[in-house]
Amino acid sequence: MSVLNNADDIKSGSSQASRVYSAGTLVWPTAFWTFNDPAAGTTISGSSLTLSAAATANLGDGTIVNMSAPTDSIDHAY
Amino acid sequence: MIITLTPPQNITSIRCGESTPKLGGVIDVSDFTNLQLLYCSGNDLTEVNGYADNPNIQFLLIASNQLSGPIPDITGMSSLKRFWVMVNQFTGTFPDISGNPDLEVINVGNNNLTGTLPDISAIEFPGSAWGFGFPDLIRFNVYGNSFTGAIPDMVNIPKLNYLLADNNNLTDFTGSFPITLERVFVNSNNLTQTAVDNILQAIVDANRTTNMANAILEMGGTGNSAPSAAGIANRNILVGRGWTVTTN
Repeated sequence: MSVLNNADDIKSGSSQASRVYSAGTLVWPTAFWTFNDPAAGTTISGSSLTLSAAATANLGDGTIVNMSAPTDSIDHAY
Repeated sequence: MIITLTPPQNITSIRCGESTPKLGGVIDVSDFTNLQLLYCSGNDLTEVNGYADNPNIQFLLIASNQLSGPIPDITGMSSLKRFWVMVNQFTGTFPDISGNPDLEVINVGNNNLTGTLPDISAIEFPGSAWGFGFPDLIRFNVYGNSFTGAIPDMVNIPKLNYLLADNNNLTDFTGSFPITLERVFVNSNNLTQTAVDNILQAIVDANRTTNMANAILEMGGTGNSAPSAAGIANRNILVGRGWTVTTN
């Protein structure tokens, strides 16, 4: 899977892919935080990223956060 | 469930925030090649992976989780300034910090570490302007482990402010302290009378006499010897300068 190591613009047809799996294993992008499915109402607060350019957070429950500011919050409730 | 952040090379700092209830799980920053700060304390994480060979990380703050096993080899983290791994379940020995010349704070407190502490003033950085020791280190916090042997000589740690080494099994001290030192917790060890006397003498010799409101020397608790008459005389000198001193 090394061919995907630096991928950041993977498409299926004209649709942007957000994840690529191989035999059920996520191979792109690499997981940042892996945890058991949270109880409903579980929150993450006080979280933020500092960016040198735009980035996207996929929070695992279908929530996609597109960020372009130098510092951006990604607080979330599951 | 999996959180992904893309593209990872665009991200220079990550603050995980605090999960309620704690999410636990595993953090992996292997792909974050430009990461300078990772602050993921207090989430009951069981693993944090992929940081130990990153030369750009300056702040690694992963305290108060459920991290276990040995502390990874951090000698490749050549920009590391603050290393917080306190309040976890790490085992093994004190990490090799011979690759981290810019260290300002190291806190490995309240883990399950054993063995001796390194002679940090004798660690050499060939090619540096200063040669030996850590010119920017202000906090050396190793409390709440099972370290044995000597408290390191701080002769080449010119900015040291906090030395928190209480609640270990430390026995000895020979050396000196800088004038910047203002908080020394070495209570509840097994310090010999000679070690207790040497600590008192080294602090007298450092000659701190200003900004004394937070100057505290704690050498009481279980295990430590009482000072000798000479040590008591030095204790009285320190009290006269404004230190709050506790001995057995």
